[in-house]
Amino acid sequence: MKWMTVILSKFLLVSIGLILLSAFTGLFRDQPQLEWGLYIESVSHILQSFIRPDLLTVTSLSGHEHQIFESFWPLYQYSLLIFLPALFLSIGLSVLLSYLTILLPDKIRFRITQVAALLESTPDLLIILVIQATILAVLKESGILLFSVAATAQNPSYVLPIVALSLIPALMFYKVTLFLVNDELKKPYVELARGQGFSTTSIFFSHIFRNITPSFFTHSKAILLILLSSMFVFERLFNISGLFTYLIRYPEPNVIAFALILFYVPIFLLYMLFSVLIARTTGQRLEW
Amino acid sequence: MSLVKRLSQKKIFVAGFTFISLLFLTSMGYYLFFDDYIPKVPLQYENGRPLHAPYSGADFPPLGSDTFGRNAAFVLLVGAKYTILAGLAIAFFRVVPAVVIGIALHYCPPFLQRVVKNIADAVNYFPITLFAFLLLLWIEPSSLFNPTTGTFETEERIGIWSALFVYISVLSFIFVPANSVLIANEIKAVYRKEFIASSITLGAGKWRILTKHIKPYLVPQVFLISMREFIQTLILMAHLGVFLIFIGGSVSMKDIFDVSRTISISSEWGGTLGMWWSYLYTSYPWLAAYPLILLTLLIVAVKCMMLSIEQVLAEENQVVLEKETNLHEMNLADSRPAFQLLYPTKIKEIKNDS
Repeated sequence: MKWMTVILSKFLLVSIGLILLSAFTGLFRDQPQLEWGLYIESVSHILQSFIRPDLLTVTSLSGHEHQIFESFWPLYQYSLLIFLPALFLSIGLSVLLSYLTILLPDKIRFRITQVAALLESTPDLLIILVIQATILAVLKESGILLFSVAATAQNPSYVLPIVALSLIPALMFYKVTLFLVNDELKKPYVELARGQGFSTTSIFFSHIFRNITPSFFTHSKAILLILLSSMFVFERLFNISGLFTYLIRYPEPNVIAFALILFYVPIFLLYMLFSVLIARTTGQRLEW
Repeated sequence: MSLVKRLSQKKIFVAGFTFISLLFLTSMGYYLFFDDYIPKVPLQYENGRPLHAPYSGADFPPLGSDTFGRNAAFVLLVGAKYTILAGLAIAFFRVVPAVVIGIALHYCPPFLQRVVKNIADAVNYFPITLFAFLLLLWIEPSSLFNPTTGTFETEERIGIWSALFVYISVLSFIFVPANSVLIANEIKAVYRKEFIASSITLGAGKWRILTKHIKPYLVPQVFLISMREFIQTLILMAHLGVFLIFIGGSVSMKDIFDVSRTISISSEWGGTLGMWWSYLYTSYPWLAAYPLILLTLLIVAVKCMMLSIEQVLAEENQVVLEKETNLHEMNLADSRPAFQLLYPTKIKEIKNDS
């Protein structure tokens, strides 16, 4: 029970943090006005609009006020449908790649670890550039449009943004996994298992994988955040009209706070689920 | 000292360091001697016919020009120092206040620590590019449509220097809370080590522990964190560049196609990337690639330095461990002689007897 309160209080505190930050952006709307009074007013306005959702309105260019719920849910759904698959895809890719890597001899594995560490901070823009340039070049040469480079309202593109978004995080997860696996391979139990005739595959999936999961989980948070930040740029450059594009168009502090807390909910649930699972199977209670 | 010496023996460290310093010094030298003059590319001809302005690297080596006819290589050279300087300044202001706050946070009561940590955690769920974008949007000179003249008029909100100041402070102070928590965690990890407990038992005060025991562990970590922040800053600058927010402000200019384009005044690489990105969709896409490739090279150079620092630290730990194990063995050897030394001599004696 105590554990539950810790987790719930965590959710509340992060939400408070998000509200405070959103209110802060409100001070910079037109001209920066750094006044405590305005700030507190802004925070209380956000809190009020959580109780009365009809206050969550945006003003369009023509000056009309709209309820955000007229267009909010499809955008939210679309952004999540890109974010979550990208996350899972990158994790899956990294696990698969690291399995393939440990089948290689030690020396090559060590080199690959170093190279992965070097490449992990490649800017995500480079990936976008390469992908878009390739598609455009193919289009120019052969007239075949491999994927729709930019989404339109009628034709939302899923595959390309998901794959493109997952590449850099996959590299980061891969590096983390490789480091953890390299540490794990030095441990005596691996040697024992090998001595007993278990294959590398079964050692990897039934022992090493299980043992690195907790550390992997704690490292994953930092990567998740990078994924979130590059998602914002992806929406712009692939012309996806998702949640973040909406937030740029209508930067109302209360809408921002509402949207970001809603976006945090699935991440929070996912982490809660995983930490419970890890606690059940490995007995490690993780802080995240 | 020995750390620096050992780093200088690492090839990748030297390579990364040389790349960055050469880039910076050339760019700085160009500023000092030529005052950042960006030459225009003269009109190029092909078989006697004039070509229009965005020249490719093949038409006009090394890198061609942009649609204003400015020499792309010099635009990038001029921008290099601003990119590096801004990155360094932002990384500095992200880490140094965080060290002080982190130390203070470590000595706060645990309940308060938990609250601060979780609230600071919220920064992580606020896409940082979005946050910086919202805070910096007003810096951009706003274009207002003037109905009487029928043109867009740009209105400068603030001067270049104050815009620069705002840019750097916004980009740095966003990350101070998260970094403070990180440093508080580092200190906590060192505090768990045994020698801290023994030195507290021997009567060491907080100040002594901080300066004598925590400092040697914390300083390399702070360097690593700053370098990581430098890389993150470069990426963030590039992201903001895509959203047309440039360090040192921007102006609107008409190019030779009479298209109004936003130009970065300082031409730092994030801004250059932003102003050239749209060329990706035209028939001269190479312009979009140049600043991005240079940024990637810069990041890889910093990453090389980080990796070698990590390696040296790991080796250092290894040496300490080995020393400790040697000491351990020596202690064992000291405690053993009563039995061990006697035994061989006895055998000798027996041999002599026979």
